[in-house]
Amino acid sequence: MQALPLQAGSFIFIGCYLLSLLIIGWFASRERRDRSLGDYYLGGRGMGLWVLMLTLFATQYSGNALFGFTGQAYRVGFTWLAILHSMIAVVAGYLLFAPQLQRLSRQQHFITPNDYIEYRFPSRALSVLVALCLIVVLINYVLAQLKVMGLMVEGLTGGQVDAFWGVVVLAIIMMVYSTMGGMRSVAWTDAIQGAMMLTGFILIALIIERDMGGWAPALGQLSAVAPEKLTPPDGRGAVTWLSTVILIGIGASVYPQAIQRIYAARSSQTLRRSLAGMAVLPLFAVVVVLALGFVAIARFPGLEGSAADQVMALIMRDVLSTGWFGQAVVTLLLGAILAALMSTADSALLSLSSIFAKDIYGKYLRPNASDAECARVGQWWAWIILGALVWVSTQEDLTLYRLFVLKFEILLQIAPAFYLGVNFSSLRAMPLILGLVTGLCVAVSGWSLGWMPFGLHPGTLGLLVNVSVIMIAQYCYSLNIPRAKISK
Amino acid sequence: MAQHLKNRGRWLCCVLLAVLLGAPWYWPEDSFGWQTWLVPGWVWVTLAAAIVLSALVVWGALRGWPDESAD
Repeated sequence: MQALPLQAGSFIFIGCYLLSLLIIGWFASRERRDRSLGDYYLGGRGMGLWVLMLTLFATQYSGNALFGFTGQAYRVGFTWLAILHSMIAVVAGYLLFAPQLQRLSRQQHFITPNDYIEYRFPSRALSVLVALCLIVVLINYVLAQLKVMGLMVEGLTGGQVDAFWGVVVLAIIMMVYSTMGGMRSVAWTDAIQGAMMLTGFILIALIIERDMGGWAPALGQLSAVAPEKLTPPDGRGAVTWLSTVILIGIGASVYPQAIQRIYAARSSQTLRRSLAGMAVLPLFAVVVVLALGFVAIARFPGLEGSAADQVMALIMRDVLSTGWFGQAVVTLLLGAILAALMSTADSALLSLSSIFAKDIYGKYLRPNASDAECARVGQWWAWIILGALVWVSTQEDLTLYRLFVLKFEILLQIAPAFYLGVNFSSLRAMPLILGLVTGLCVAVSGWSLGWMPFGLHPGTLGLLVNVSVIMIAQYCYSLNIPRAKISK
Repeated sequence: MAQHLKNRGRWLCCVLLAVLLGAPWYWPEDSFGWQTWLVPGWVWVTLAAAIVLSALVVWGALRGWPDESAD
């Protein structure tokens, strides 16, 4: 791919932006009240409405949203509208458990998602299983972001800067500011990035309308260029659609880093108001991103497989050619994309670090370690794991969408522990363990075989099996235990 | 107990609505004899379903659904 024709001003802006991230990290480190894990990993549990809403937005909309969503819209056409419903379903999913979980977390001082699991289901086997699943998911999540960072650096410089070195520099900046300020610096950079991303989307939509022939003619050409991408899903396609909504809607709502943001909310009311805002944002952000993919079908025909993930870069090249305003918008959007990737990766890394520090080091390796020691060990762990993942990210050869789906297959299997655990007080650990293990077996084996019975994703099928096993096991359990004891 | 059942009912209601509004909506293109604008009718109707779903989620978040004891 050729380099984007950016002017020196664009590179200076991106450089200043990266520098500002370090300054934000420094300010966030000055805001730290103490050396406790709660202050470092949850920002002192004082996140207000706007920061919470934008950081949740930035957590949900990562590099996948820009490169993966446009690429998939290009590949499959309008049936990928399912992602719009999915992103709204994520917020609907939060409503079913997040406010209750937030109240509990304030009472019980939870730090990691596993703290809730241990409090609600005092079972070491379940807590270890969930921790392992979360670690696998988070590693996968960081890997996906690093991979997109590599693509972006190569796209920006036309391959003159190697993806590996680009990722190394960005990863070091990311780690420096998140090590300095913890959740505060991550949330503040998320908020700025979320605002930039929304502004960039709106401006790019305006430019396509004003300077690039308009949306209507571009969409109008679709029926001539690729009529098959306009057809509604058939029976099997409709099942896949609903399966996608379940997979992403439920899976993304139990992102470990999102659960930690639920813990970090100032109050239950703040959380609910943030969720209300979150439910509207997909109608702007996702619709524009999808429309870009649809317009690209007619504008750049013939891209297949992982090449379709580059359509966003191709659109930006066109926008750049429209003049100084296009140059400014693309520069803003590039800064936002870069920040989206970095802040999503650092959120996941922070979560990974907290799980290692609190759930593994502080619990099993050195049970008497102080909070400050656990936080310090977590920071070192984050540096080591990031180093390994930077190397792996340049070795993998999966398309972005496939990386995106893999983590949901696993996340979906731990979702019942949160959704059902919060809402059904009689649920016990053993049915959950049986359901989780069965669901994981179905989901992971289905994923590795590329198996989609009736159009269902392996993860969704795993969830159906998982919940069925939980219900049967819970029923058998309730037959053996006197009812009064269960209520107790 | 009544409150518990009410919350469970609301929970189920939310899930059913999410599934219904989250599905693709089919639309007979020539049913009213008008030319579909830019993209097929099913796309517009499905987008409308997404807007309704979003509005319901906003309403639910601000009203404290499905758990009334939330705030």
